[in-house]
Amino acid sequence: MNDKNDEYIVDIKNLHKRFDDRIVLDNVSLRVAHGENVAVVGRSGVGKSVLLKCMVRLLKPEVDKMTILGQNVPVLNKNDLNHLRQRIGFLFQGGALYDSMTVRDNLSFPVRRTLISKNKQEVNRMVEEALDHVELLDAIDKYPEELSGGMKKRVGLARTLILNPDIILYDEPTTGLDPITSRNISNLILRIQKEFQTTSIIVTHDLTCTKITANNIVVLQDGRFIEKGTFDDMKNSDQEFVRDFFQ
Amino acid sequence: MVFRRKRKYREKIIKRSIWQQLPEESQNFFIETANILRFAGQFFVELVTPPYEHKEMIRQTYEIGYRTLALVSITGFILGLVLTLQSRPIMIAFGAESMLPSMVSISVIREVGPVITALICAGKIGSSIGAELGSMRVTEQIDAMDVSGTRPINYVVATRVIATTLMVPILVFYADALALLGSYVALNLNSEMTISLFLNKVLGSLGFMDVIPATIKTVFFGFAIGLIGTYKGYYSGRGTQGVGKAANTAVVTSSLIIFIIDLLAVQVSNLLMY
Repeated sequence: MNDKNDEYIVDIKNLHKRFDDRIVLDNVSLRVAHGENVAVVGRSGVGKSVLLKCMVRLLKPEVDKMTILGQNVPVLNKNDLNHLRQRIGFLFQGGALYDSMTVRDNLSFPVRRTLISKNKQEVNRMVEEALDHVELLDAIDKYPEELSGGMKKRVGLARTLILNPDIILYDEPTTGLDPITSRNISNLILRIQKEFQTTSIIVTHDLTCTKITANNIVVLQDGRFIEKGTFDDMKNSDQEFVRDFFQ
Repeated sequence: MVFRRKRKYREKIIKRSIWQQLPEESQNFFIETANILRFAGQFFVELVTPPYEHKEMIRQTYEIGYRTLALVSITGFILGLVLTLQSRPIMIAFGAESMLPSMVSISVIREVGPVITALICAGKIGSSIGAELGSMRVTEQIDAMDVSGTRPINYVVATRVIATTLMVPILVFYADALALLGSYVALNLNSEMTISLFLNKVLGSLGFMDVIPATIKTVFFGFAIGLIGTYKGYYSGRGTQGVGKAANTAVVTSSLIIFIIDLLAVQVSNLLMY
């Protein structure tokens, strides 16, 4: 039975999340089609990162429906959830590199652990290929503390790419970077989407990043999506907050 | 049927009210205990689930042993030395100076050596594991492992708990040996005793039931230090305060558990002996 909704890689209906008495997400719904780059924008602390964390069940969601890559996320058992997570890349705000490991070990770790390959030469080839995509082959034997903020994000992205994910979730990929590095990272996100045919959800409040990377934009305010559309749609929105935000 | 249902409902209400009547501290204590037990269950499941991280486990074992060796050496030696010096006047008063090596060896092997060494390990290893995992949690490294499906409990927790379970008994053996050396040195400060005579008295006074229960309880001490350290770090709060609290509570809780295990071990070994 082919449901029309199956076209969507991500299909979330009425996602609700609260921390104690504070409602962070209030019946949020989102659909993302294959190959689409969707930017979730909004002011700091409105729950953009919470949305991403609910999608990979780092936080427990209360939701009517949440399917990602055809899997019903809230009811998955631990094993199936782990398999799904291997198909979802997640780039953390600070890169979240394992600081006791070199860049090489950071990248080979998920490959080794998920038993994609145990052959050392094969793993090395995969690591070098992933680092080549983010143009950081020179940093292969460095430790995270020796890398700059932008380099950490690129290594984080390479670590995400090595598992060849179908969908990548970016949590503030350009926060804390200078405008040039920020633009480079945004271009890299776009290049990766075209090269690997991935679907992406980018949580950001960086308008340059949004403009470069997103096909579609959703604006989150007070726990709800208040506007959806392209960058130009946002600039001409009926809502004052959205127009102000995109000025 | 209706009466039975009513009775069940009444019982449920009573049970709920008993829980609600408990002070908040007691409720938190029971919740924390249940969480630790659940975490221990997760550890045992992950322990038998591949992939097995032999290299990481050996690295952790080495790190834990190496980091604690100097401290355990000094405290072990001083422990034996002080115990002998403190006991000597009393033993002389009772005319039992010749029993001093036997008394020191039994108290060191049975009780003082394991407990003191375990407490030192709780302070040194427990806090270090709690802080390390806490900072991994704060910098989202554990989340990163989780979302890539690499099962952090298997990699981060299991390896450390096995390492402490293996290393603490070895460190206790080592500390016991140094405590006996300290005792021998203390004896020779005031009188003369050959090493062969000293060892003869020590080994002659120690029996199977002195060594085996003491060794078994050190395995539990090591397990508790590793489990509590990893638990506190793994579920540490956000921010630097969270890391500090994780390290601190890891030490406090594991020290408390060491005493509880010690108490149980005494009861069990007494039950087996008499």
